[in-house]
Amino acid sequence: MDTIQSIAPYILPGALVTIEISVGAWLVSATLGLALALMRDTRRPLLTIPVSLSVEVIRAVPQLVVLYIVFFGLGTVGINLDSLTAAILGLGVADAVFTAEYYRAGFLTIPQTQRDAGLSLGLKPLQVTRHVIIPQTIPFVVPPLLNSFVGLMKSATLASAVGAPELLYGGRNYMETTGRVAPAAVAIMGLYIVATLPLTRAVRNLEKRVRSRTRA
Amino acid sequence: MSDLGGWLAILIGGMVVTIKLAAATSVLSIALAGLLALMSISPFRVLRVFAGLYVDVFRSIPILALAISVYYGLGASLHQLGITPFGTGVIVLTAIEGAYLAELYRGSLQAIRLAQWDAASSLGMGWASTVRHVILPQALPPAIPITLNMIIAIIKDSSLVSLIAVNEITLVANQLIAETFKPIQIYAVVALLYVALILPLAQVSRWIEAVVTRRLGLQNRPDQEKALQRLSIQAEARAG
Repeated sequence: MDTIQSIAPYILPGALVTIEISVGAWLVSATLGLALALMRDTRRPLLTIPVSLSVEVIRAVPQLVVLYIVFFGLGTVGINLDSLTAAILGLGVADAVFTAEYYRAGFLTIPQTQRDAGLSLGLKPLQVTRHVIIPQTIPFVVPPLLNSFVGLMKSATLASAVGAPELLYGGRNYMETTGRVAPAAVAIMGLYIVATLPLTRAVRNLEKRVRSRTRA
Repeated sequence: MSDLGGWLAILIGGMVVTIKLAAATSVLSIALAGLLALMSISPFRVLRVFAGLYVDVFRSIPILALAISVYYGLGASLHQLGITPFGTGVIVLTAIEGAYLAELYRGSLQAIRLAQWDAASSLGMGWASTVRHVILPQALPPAIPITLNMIIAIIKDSSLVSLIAVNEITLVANQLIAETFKPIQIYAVVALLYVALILPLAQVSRWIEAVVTRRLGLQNRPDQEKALQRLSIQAEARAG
């Protein structure tokens, strides 16, 4: 009981920051990913080539390095972000290059004939994308986007490396001040298991439902 | 700019450690994942439950949380046992990446239709010989690109153990930055080295995937379904 009371002040505020980081980074990833996917699928080489290139490059760079570039790198060119903002931005950008592919795979599930039909009705390409393609893509991209949220919850631990006071940061503080590792380790990992396992299961079921509905 | 050569030598030294770290982790993860995947289709309930629990638990734990806990909690004892930070890094990475890979392998094993198990058992084949002669030959080819993608993920995730004193490229880069105060230039070189290592692997993986798909005669499936499958495999591998 004493242990729980002594550890709570280290862990609970950290858990809130973890939620803040994962929700923030997820929003960055979901919107930037959609923008990247749309830009990559236009037929304008001036747009598609640089976008594809940066997506491919960032996909190959570890999240931690992306985060360091955003936090330490941008600092030297006069863009000083606090650790929380840097974590949201860095993790979000590193994830967006993957989210972009989920959207593009989602677009592929819509037959070309629908785009043709929209165009033949006199809609502009962007209007077709907005009113015909995206609404139908949503059910397909929701499960991978939720998976990416689960991934970001775990990646939020990286923010401790730039000093954002999230769950692992709080836990490490507890370990360092009390010299006791096990309670913090159990609390952190236990919280992660309790938070992510049901979510992962739910996403899997959702995915099955989306799939069976499209086959029918 | 004159010290670029010096940096590069130091960073490449770090990259060599990254490659060794990823190689050791990959070999061990493949072994662990293969074992767990076989357990998950075994006729013994205990083994199935154990494999399921292991995969669920270790897929839920962030690599960095496990790394920090092991390093702070067991670092001294591991040191006494003669296990270096590098060894600790390999153990931590394997424990988690093995769980992700096991889940993907289980998927390719279970993609084989149940009727094939029935057919094999009607021929009098036992579990082991069914797995060896019927299931594995069909499950292995699709598992190759999956494994390659996992190796790419392992290379990227190996940067995390820079935070538990493994002197791989990310740690070496940070030490270099502490001396030179040139984060942008040094991280740019680091990023390029990762790209140089990973892009060829990604290309090979795509190519093998295309060959496997063609050989297995999967190309007749409608685009939509193929796209969906890619999407779910990618997303599954990325949940970590």
